[in-house]
Amino acid sequence: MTQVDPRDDRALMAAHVAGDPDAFGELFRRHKDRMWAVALRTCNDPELAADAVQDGFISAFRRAASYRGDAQVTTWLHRIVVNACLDRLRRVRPTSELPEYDLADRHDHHASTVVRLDVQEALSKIPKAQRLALTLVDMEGLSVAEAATTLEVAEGTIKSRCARGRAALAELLRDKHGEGYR
Amino acid sequence: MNTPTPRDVDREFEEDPTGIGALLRAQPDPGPMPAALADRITASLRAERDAAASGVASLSEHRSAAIHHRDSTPQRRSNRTLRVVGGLGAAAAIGAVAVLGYQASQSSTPATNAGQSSLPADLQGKVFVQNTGANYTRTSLGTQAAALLKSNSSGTLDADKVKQLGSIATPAGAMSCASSIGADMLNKPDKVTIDIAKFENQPALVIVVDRDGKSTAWAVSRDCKSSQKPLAGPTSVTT
Repeated sequence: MTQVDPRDDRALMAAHVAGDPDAFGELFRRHKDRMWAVALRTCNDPELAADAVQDGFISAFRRAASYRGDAQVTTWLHRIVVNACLDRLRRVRPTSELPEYDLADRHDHHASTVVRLDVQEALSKIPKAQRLALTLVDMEGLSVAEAATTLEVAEGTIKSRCARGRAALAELLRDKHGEGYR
Repeated sequence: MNTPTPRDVDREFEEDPTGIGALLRAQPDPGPMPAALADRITASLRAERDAAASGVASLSEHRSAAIHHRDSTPQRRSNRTLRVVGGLGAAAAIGAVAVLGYQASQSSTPATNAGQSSLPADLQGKVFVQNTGANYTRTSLGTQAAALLKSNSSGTLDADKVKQLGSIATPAGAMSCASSIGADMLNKPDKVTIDIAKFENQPALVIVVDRDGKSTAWAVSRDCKSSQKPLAGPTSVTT
């Protein structure tokens, strides 16, 4: 039976750097689903996201010694995975193709298929910096401070990007649904 | 037009007057990472770990170090092959770390046969992976392992199955996980049969090693940790 590793993330990072062969595997198991979600939402393409999240974890494995412990390990991982996504996106021509993965249905009225796909489409149309801020803060639930650390910008910049990104999304969705998106 | 002040930005951010923040928060979660992708990354991390431990160049520095299995549309899929190159944890157990590679086409070519070339020379043609899904038990491991050998001892998994199960369905990947039974047990076998199955209702690999006319079975977790101990075995198998 699989045993739960009682060590916290920082302890696992330290153990990995010290040579524990299983420590990083535990970190991967803990955070793979969240990083997958981040990658999917950042790349907006499951294939790119798969490559990016792999790049991110390999990079984190190698750069673990650079983790200074002044941020949560998850924040550090977010930064690495987001950067891996941006690297991947830079290599391909942007497309307006909708994501091909199926999203789980949580029966929320906002999650109706039409609105959901339109949200994805609208997100792909707003500036990347705004999309990243909205992805981290509104979709992934990071605090403004964590998002600022992840994207290496000031907290005010995150708020500003979120506010402008929401306004842009509202405009795009209003064109399709009137006020019905709300 | 007035430039918004920081206070305006703060208020707009906090109040979310468009409701878009709430809408985004209500978007459904994409769900867990696909198992095949998790396997692929696990294999890459294991390759990194093994490479670091042995002091050889990092496998993932070659782009081929990962198991490239992409969840793709049929159109994209038709243009791609499943590329698998992984670090073989068992290589440490058998005295070598190898950069492994195999290509399993998207056709019905049996993947495990193709994957034999990924193994060290002394294991090529000797490792067979099956996926019976059987639930082995501690008390009947030997009997069930005997049945496994009788059912299809040269069984193969096709590319679709490898795609579904990930690297563990390849001879190299399965051997990497099997290495936890110990180097001595895998030294110069006549044949190794590995069943991707369950043990006491938990996902597991059942490994049957034929050597010197004897068959011996083990069950190991699919966690594939280097430090893990076998869940059961060695158990003699009478065929």
